[in-house]
Amino acid sequence: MYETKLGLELQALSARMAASDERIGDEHRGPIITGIDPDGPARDKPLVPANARRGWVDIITHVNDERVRTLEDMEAALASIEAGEIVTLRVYQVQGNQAATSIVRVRAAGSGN
Amino acid sequence: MSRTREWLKFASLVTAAAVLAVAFVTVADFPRRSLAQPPTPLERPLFGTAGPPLQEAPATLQDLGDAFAEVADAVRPAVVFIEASASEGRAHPQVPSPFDQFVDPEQIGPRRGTGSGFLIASNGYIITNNHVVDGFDRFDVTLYDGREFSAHVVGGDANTDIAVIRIDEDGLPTVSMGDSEVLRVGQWVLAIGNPLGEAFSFSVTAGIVSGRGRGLDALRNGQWSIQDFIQTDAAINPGNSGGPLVDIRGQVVGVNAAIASRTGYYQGYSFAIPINLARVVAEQLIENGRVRRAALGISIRDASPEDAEVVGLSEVRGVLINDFSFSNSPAEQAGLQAGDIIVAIDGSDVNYTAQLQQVVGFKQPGDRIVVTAATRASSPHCTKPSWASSCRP
Repeated sequence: MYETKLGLELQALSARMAASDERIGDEHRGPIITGIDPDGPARDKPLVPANARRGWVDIITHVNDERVRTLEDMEAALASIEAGEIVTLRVYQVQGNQAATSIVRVRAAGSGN
Repeated sequence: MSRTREWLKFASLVTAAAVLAVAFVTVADFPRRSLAQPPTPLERPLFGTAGPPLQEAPATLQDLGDAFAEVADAVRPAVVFIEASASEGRAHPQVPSPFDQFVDPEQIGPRRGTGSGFLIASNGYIITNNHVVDGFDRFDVTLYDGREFSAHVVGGDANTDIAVIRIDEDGLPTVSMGDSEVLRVGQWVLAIGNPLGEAFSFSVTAGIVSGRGRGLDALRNGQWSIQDFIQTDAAINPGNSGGPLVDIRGQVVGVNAAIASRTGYYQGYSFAIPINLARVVAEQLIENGRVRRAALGISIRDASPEDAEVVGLSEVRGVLINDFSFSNSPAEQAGLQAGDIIVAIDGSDVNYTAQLQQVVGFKQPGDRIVVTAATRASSPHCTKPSWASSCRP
């Protein structure tokens, strides 16, 4: 089920996953991206759905500079976003043995589509 | 979800193919013959022609051909053929490339490679590619006029793939240096070098500038690698590495370094290092034997349309700051923030990441540079609405 404004499928970062990876510290806790709507506004952004086998995970830590730790935080941060508004995500991207923070901007879609 | 996965699979295959396909252009093992001087034209034709030729060649083509010939005459004397060898054992392997199939990985004993270069000073300094000399310890240089010299390495820089070697001689012919910054896509260029080894030494091929600012991930050699290649369709093959790419005035605009190919041979996509970059690197190598590079301490990507809109830029250009590479990095100290778009350095426009890397790479650690960044209007650390110089609080 995609989060409709950004076209992202999100899940909570499991405690086990966070604990098993030393690169994921407390400051990196947040919702992880598990899917990207191929017709949604994030379809062409540098984001990758989590893939345990490859060791890839994108964790959203901030929405418009606001720290988000849980799915509820995320929902609250997006609540006031109108369609057409650009949302700035700060994403902690773990890929194999590399990890880096990226800024990704997505234009919010209407929640009705 | 399944569509997303399918798409990803496709994307990763494409990436893998591209990684395999890009190769350095040195020669591992190709036929050698004497360095061929241009043959003397025959006094009279051996055979009659089947029909009369045009009375006069179309003027434009005649002019074009004459121009190419003049350029070739002017530049070839300053081009060199380099034969590199390792005295024993296997030298460092170069990047995995299709050419590896020509080299026995277990090979013990002397190993050889050939490449190209060009004289930049009458006292013997030669620019070539770092991968032509890296891992070898003996260099034999042959000039167009047939003279042979032994050369030594002055310095090499893996990040830009530029090296300088020197032969001990004075009064040598040199190339004329051009300006790669003003190159236009579509402009004629000629590549001069020694494709496929000695048999085809001092070959001249023509093409146009097909693109600029190309990144070649397979050649990336660390985080400082500068990815700003000139793309051309002039034929470049193994052995052309280190040779000059010149404009129609015979001025060097690039150093031929790589090709994208599925076969390991020319397929229409050749890449040269911009001469402006090569020059700065060569100067530092000659002066210090090594290259020192300034760093802003940021991780970056090209700005997207959404980034431009958020910071109030009217066009989509510039370099977005993702993050700072280390705490208290120079960019962070200057008050720049993640999400800002760098649009100029020292007052000159910066439009894409490779350009920024190149401009900053030209600086020395400790140099002061002025960074112009577009930042969000609501940004708490920057009071100017959309543009700010250095964005100092």
